[in-house]
Amino acid sequence: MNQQAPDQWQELARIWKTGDAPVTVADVEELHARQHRRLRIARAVELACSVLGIVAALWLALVSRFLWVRVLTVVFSAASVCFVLRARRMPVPQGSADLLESLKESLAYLDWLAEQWRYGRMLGFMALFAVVMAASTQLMQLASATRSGLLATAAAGVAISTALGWNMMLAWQVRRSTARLQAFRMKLVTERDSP
Amino acid sequence: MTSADRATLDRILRDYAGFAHRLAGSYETDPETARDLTQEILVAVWRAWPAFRRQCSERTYVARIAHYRIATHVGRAVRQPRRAELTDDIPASDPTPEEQVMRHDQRTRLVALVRTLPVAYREVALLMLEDFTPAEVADTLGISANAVAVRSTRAREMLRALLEQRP
Repeated sequence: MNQQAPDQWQELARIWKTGDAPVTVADVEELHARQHRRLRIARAVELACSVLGIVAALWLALVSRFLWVRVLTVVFSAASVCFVLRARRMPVPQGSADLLESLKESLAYLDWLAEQWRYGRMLGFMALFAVVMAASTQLMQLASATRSGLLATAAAGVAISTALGWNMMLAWQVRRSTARLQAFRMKLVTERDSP
Repeated sequence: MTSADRATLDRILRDYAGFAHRLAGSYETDPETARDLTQEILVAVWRAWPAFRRQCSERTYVARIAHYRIATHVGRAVRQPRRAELTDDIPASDPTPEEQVMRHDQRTRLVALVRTLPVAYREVALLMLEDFTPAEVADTLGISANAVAVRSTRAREMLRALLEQRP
């Protein structure tokens, strides 16, 4: 390796380093607080949606005449909560690895996350299918259908559709992040050993 | 916030705010976005600080986090440089006004030129400009020492040539 390299950069480094960063402690603290606030709000919304989903699932389980609908809605709600908790748990790697390694780990994390959303989506569509089936059966036998049964089915349908919409939005975000990181990493890897 | 947290943040800002800002500025031509990115880098460093186990030098640790943050900002960062002029928000520390103007002009041009370097060269050049040793650059970016040496030489030659050519 050329040991003189750092010295030869000195002149450029001197020019490079003139000036100060226009960032204060208050700026950084404010951004930190803002990030915390956003995270707390996201968690609160997710928690509220999960609780609502469980309530709707239990309600449907109590009033539905179909055992498979009861099982599926309860499993869907429990799995949704699990996915949300798991997705929040895994930390993103940072300073302990070099840039390429960090990017690789981040991409692995995003792949893992995309897989979670895929499973969630699969389960969501199954649950939605079950609810639609239950609703159509209830509508076909409208005379014998109870008001609470119809309401529970509608509530479950809305909850599952909302969860699916949320899932698709998160999956889209993950896909976008993956594409960005992948492009940047590929650029670095391609040029890595070809000076 | 505890007083220890505050002390840590003070030290991070004192030692690395300039570094983070210069790094962010070499990817972002918009001063406001560069400032936001600088803050994001500093918050990330602050949050990761308790996990620092001296597995590498302190500035290597900071540089890794900064580069990682910039990589996640990559949608805008990998765009072709827009060659926008920097604003006059960076005061020079030279004694005379003439020297200040010259130094500031040189710095503005240098920043603009660094942005025109291909990413692989830019990554190395940025760290060399921050007085990193070739070993630290290799450690930060995860590339071989040989690649650092070659890219460093080529990046420097490109920058020098461009600095001399452009008015």
